[in-house]
Amino acid sequence: MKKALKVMIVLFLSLTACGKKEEEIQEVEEEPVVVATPEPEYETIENLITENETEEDTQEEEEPAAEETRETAEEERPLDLDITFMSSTAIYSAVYNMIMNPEEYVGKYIKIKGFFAVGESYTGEEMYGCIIPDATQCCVQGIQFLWKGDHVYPDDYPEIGTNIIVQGIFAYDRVDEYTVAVRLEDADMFIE
Amino acid sequence: MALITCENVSLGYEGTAIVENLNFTVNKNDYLCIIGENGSGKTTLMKSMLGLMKPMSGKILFSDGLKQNEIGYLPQQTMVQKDFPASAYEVVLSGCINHLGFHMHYAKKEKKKVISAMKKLNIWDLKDKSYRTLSGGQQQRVLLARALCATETLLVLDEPVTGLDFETTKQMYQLIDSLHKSGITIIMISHDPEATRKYATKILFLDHEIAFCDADEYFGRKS
Amino acid sequence: MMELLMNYFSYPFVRYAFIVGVLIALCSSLLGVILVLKRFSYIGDGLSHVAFGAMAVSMVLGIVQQKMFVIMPITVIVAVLLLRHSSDSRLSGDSKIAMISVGSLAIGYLLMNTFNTSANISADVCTTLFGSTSILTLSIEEVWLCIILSLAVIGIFVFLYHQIFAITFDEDFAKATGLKTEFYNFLIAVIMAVIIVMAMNLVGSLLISALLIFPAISAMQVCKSFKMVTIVSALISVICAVAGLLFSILGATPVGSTIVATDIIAFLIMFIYGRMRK
Repeated sequence: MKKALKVMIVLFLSLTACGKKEEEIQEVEEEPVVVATPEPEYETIENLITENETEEDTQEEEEPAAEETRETAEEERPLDLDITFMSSTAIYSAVYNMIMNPEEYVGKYIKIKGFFAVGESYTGEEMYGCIIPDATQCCVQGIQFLWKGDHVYPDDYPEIGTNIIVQGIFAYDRVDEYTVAVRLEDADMFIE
Repeated sequence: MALITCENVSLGYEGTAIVENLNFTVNKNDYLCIIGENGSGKTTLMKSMLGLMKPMSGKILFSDGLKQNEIGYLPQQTMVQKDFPASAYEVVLSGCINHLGFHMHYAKKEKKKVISAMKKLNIWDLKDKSYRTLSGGQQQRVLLARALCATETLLVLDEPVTGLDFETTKQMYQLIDSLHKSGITIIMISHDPEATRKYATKILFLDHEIAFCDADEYFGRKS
Repeated sequence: MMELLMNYFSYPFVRYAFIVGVLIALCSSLLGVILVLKRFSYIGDGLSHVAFGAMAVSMVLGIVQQKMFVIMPITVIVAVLLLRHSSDSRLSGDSKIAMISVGSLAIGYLLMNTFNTSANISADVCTTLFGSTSILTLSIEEVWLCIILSLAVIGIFVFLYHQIFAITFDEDFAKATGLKTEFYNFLIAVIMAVIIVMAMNLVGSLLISALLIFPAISAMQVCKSFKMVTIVSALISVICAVAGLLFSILGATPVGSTIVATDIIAFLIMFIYGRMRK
């Protein structure tokens, strides 16, 4: 299981642009974002977790928690979205929806849980992600996270496959017209 | 007064004619029995009269105010129907469908028809019973009541006593006869020579030679 | 528990899932009564495989979020063509339907693998055939489409209830008394295709038959009139869909099979109750 996960992660994350930490966090826009993409192709197996198509129109999302300013990530900042309470059926769907409509979530402080996994981006950098399978375990979603502070792999990181909880600021980059790299920045990671 | 007239009617399937050059008239208050071997075209003729099939050639004419959709039809039952989950009342009510038009509900007039038809045939006490729990004879009476709701003039019955026991068969014929006596024209496909002899006023015999005549004539009775 | 549920329901995708799920369950049960009584269940099953094939075509063309807009027309057309021939003799179309059914399934799977447009083939196949999470991952267009179509179908059933009853009980008699049976058969074919495509989102195409048939058959174990059969069938279907959805979300089970499992339990309950009453 863990080996399969690692293989999958390598594939899934291999095209993620890892070195875009410096990029600005995009502000969430009030109106639905119209992204000028042609009819999106479905993901290839390499892109499932982090790269996804975006839609022409996005759906309206509401926030369950109180809204706060999102200029900077703060430790005491309350969560905008906490999906750790969900079962794997729902959590998988929640993450899927996030990935399909990333504009809705940009800048939000999100908490997810899943398995720890390691992969490699096409820049050759190592990346660390949180993997969420669905109930039948045949479908998998995942999000890269950037653990804040100085951490070294493998010493500071847990073993691959460990249950972890990650909370961070949602961000994404458009890799090309069809693919999107999704991650949680300034993240805290806890072992469950 | 003529109700239905068949002029040079030919009936068949896929180019092959079973019946050719059929000419006869059904008058008001007739009790016509259509008899003949299986496959001789009796049901085909009945279906053509009802508009369920087109005759290969010839014309079927309706007169004296009779409309094709105001004929009461009692077809042979299918297995599915025998097991259908509906109340007897619902089945009889569906006989009024030709008057529903675009309304969502049946009018009081239709519902009265249902009540009177079911009372006439002595099945009003069965109205809430599930159709599939009824006996063969009871089901036939429900279907007959349904046919009555569709018409005030003409009943067309396809072997109405198939599968019924002796007593029930007798009762069924008596019912049909009393309907006839109350002024309804009857056209019936029958395999029962005795009943035909007893009740029919006209005979249509379908075979290589077609015979259409008075029952008295057919059975050699003196009037 | 309540708080947990409230938490879940604060998410739009959960709310959508329940709204659409209830509507689909309602429509399916109404259609199911007709399918069972007209002995068309195998057509329903065949059409669900055609829908799968159509989905494969849609994927190959790169249409993902709006796939319903491709699947729906294709399935409707096939439904109309199939039903046209089956109204004459119910069994002669049997092998035709079997061929189309299995053929669609095979070609659909072949297409999806050949064109490699999907990131995770087995995931797509799994979720489309079994509906593990599809109801929870609908795009907003799909949600609206389902709502509008479901309400239309329900409206048709309500307004044309007596005609549909007449056609289902005795098509010959209905035709003889002037009902335009070809039109109603066409309407039923279209509704069947529409519901099957929508239900594919709820329980997956392999399990659609169950969603259609079980509530109807359960109701028929107990009810005496057609009206009661329709109402009870709808009630059972909606209750089971809600229960199944809740259980699968809370209990981390695949949505489709959970709903079908609750349908089966409901059937067993009605069956036993029906026998006891005799």
